[in-house]
Amino acid sequence: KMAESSDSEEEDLVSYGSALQPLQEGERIKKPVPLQEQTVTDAKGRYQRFHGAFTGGFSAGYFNTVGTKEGWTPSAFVSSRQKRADRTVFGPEDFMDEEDLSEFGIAPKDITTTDDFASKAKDRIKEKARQIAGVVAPIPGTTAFDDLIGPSKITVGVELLRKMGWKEGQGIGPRVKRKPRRQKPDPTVKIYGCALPPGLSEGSEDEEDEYQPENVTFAPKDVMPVDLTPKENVHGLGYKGLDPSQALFGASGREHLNLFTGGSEETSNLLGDLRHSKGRKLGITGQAFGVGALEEEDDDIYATDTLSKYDTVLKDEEPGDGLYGWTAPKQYKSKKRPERDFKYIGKVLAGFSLASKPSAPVKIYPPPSLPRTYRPVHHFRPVLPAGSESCRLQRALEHSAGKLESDPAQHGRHALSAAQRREQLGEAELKGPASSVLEYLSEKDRERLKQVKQASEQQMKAKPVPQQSPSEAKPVPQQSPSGRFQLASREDDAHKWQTLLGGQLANAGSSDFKPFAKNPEKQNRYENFVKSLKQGERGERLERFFDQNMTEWERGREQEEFFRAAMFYRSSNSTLSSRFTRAKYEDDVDKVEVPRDQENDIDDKETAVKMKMFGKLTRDNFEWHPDKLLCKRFNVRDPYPDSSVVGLPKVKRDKYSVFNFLTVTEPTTSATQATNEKIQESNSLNKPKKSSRWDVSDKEKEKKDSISEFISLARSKADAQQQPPVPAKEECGTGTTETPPSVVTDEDKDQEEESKRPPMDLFKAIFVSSSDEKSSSSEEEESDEEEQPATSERQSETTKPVDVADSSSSNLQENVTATTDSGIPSLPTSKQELDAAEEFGPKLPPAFSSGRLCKHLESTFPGPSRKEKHRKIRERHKAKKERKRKKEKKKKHKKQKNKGKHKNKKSEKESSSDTTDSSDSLSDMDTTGLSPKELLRR
Amino acid sequence: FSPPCTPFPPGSIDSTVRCWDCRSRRPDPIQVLDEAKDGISSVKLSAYEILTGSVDGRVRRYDLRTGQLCSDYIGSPITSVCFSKDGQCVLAASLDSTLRLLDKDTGELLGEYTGHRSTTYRLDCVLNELDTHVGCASEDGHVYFWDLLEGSLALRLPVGQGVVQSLAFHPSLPCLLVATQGQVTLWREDTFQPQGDPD
Repeated sequence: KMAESSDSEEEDLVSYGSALQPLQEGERIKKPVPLQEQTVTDAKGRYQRFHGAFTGGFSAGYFNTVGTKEGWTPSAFVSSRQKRADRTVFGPEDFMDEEDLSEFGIAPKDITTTDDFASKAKDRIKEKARQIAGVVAPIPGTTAFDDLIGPSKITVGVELLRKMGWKEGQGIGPRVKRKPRRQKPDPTVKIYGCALPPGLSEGSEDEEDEYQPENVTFAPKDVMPVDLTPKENVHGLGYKGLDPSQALFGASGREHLNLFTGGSEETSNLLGDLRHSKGRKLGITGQAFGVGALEEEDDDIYATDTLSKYDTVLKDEEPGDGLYGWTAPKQYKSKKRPERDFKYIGKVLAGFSLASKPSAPVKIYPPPSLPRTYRPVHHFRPVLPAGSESCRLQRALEHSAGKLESDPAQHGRHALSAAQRREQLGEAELKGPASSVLEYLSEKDRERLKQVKQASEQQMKAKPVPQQSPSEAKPVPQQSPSGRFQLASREDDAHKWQTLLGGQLANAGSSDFKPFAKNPEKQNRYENFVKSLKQGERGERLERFFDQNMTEWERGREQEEFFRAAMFYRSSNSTLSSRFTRAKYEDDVDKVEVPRDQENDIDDKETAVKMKMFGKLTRDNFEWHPDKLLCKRFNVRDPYPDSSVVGLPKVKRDKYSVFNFLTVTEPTTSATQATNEKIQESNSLNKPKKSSRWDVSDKEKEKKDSISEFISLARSKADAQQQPPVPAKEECGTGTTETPPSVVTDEDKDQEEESKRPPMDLFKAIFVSSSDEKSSSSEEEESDEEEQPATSERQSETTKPVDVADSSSSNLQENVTATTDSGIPSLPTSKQELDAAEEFGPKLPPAFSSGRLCKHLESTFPGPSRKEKHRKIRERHKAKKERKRKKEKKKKHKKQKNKGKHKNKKSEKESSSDTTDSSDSLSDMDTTGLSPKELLRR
Repeated sequence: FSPPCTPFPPGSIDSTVRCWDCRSRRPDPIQVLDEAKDGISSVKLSAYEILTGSVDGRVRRYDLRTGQLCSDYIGSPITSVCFSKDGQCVLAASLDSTLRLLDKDTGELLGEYTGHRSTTYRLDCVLNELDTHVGCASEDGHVYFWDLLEGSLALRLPVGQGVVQSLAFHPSLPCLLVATQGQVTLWREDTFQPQGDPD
């Protein structure tokens, strides 16, 4: 059964190639023949050589078998004197093996044109014709006498033609009535190769030109076969290299296949040909090669090449040159050619015909020449700012659909100058350059503006898509504060925009302002949109202008965009535009590449610096990506191992993104120390503080301007009140040092020093962390914990060393809020507004007591040393509560026990230094005391 | 100045700091810190930070470990910056004749030292080896030392007539090197014996 199955299996299999012979039982496996021993043999079992004497290699005979038994033996010398007649001419083939003559040899013999069909006669018009390549008689040795004798036999084709009445020199075809054409070339027509002497070849035909009978038909002109060989080499046109057959046996190379050479011509040219062929018979001839060694005659070698053999004039060849019978024989007959043929000399494809009339030339209209004075700058027409009139007008617009453009009054108003409009608005005249618009507004206006702003901001928050508009910061005093802006739904949204855009719409669509020029479709939509908006359409009707393929969201977004664009356009036209800096980015680019974090505005910081409020205000923190190699070299782990950016990261961001609008920094009023700032920081941790990123575009600029103006205003006021406390504080600092009586005099010096100490941060920065880093015993941690409250205490103390300072600072804050309050009275109590209020004068924390202060301190204090203490945070957390309790207690007594606390502090300090127990920190303490002395001594 | 085998970033007048890799000898810098808006006047390195002071009035600290750039606005052109020895503070001298000690982490002002004159030249500021005193060259031929904590002028060291051009403090010894008017002087404490004390 097994055998059966295997058999059937084998039958199913298809085997390729020859199977290996099954190994015998005891047979050793043959070693494979190494490569160098592998040989190739030919059919006769002889070794095949791949490079023989004729194909590039060299071996004397068959594998150097010359002279050996099976090798080739050179023929013995035979004197030619006796055996002259026996002299045989050897061709290369005589020395070739049969392999060489086979199909793949160097002289393949299989299918070639034999002499029977290749006429050996000289072509009569050989010089004119281009050579027909590829037909070379392979064995030329026997043709030496062909020229002398003439063809012994005529080829079959010629014979047949002759029987049909054909004569040499005629063309084939029906006879035509025409003047027989000269088949001879002009002497001046280009002749390639060496021309025969003129008289020899042309003489027989010249007389034919003499008479031209009228009513005689002639045979068609003989046609040169078209040379169909493609040009495959890189030689120049017409170049013909040395013909190997010519080089070997001169005569044979000059023979071309030409069926139509006549015998008569041959005989007439006999003499010349003879001489000619004799001269070329042997070896390489020509001017370039000199006289060959085998050449018997050297009369030719000094033949001069005359210029007359070359073309000097370019002219059309005869119309019949080779085109007859090729494509359009009919054309050929008409001698007179219409004009158009000069335009198109060539072949017309089947199915096409040449146009009878030339097509009318395309008219080119030159562009209008610009006047000399033209400057390619577009001046926008001035636009009326939103005012009472515009409000009314726009309301009118909503009702009167489409009459806008024809309204003369409307246009008249656009022609108003800035001054006129200012008069209309009742504004005061500008007095020199100022940094903000707000300075030109009355107090009342400013107030109103603020309300408007808040309302709009509120609204902004309510919406998912940011739509910040300059109008909100713009003076639009006549608009009622909240009613119009409170609308939140989208349809009303459009309406709101409409009202906002109001009078400006007249210009928005009709002018050259093309915010979406890059996207013509969008621009189109935009224009339609604006137009319809102008006509008072709203809501759903506006929707039809948007691409139906877009999603709801996209449509909404685009609408916003359009609104913004319209708005933007207006803003650039407004009277305020003169105060704007140029936009950093193109208007029609929606996304801009901005550094994700920009440094804050300097003027804000300037004030902060002036008030010595370093810290939050003057500090900008950015994400910064160091180079990977840099990290490596610094021996630091790459903080952003996955990021490819280097330096400050940039982000593609929507130009009008809400992130561009952050609320302003909160100026703090604490003069020198950061404690108050810290409080505020903790107070308003979730409030954005920085006023950066406001300067993204004009709109923002404007808005920012106004706010920063407020800030600076508030600050300058605060500043004035702040000046006194600063020196006073310093005095206090020294004052405390002068009042040490109640202090226990253990280490007076230390004590003094401590009391004199400025901010506690300093201590923390210098001492705490260092002690932290030195050891991490639990003991020390405790000490740290102890120190923590102490330092914070001290800090609070130093910031307000005495009651005076304390009250002064708190007074100060109150003052600030008072000033801002006076500036902005009775604001609606929205959250936004709260923020805003804090921007200008931070509200005092509800209970600005020492206890509260302490708490904040506690939570925020570890600032500098927090990082180092990360690992201890947990333990500290527990301790914190205790500390807090302790502190609370202390704070209660603080005011009375101002000096007593020094002691507390000191003792704690001591304990800390004791518990750290590291000699380093101790020495630190010592040196802090000593080294100044040393220095002083010097 | 740069530790061996680390990139050294010299500040340049074109408001960039370029970090070259000394090890690879590549001609092009590894990274260019081009955040500054004006020329860089001073560059200091710590183990993982690059501190630059720029004429645009900002002290920038590039923290490689956290990947942060902290930029503190001082206002007046910065002439010199240096770290405190404990690495917690940054001292910045500016052209308004003021030295400011800033908390490195928060940017808060910890101390302000005035009294010297520095209005036109790029003058060095130093911290002494124990971080107890702050020193700065002055244009009136003195070197000023302030108590770091009190902010009071501790020493006014006359070193020459003209501008004190350069100043360096020994990292671990009380030893001050002063360059002024083609003359370099070394200052040691009184008790220093082996070499003659200029005092």
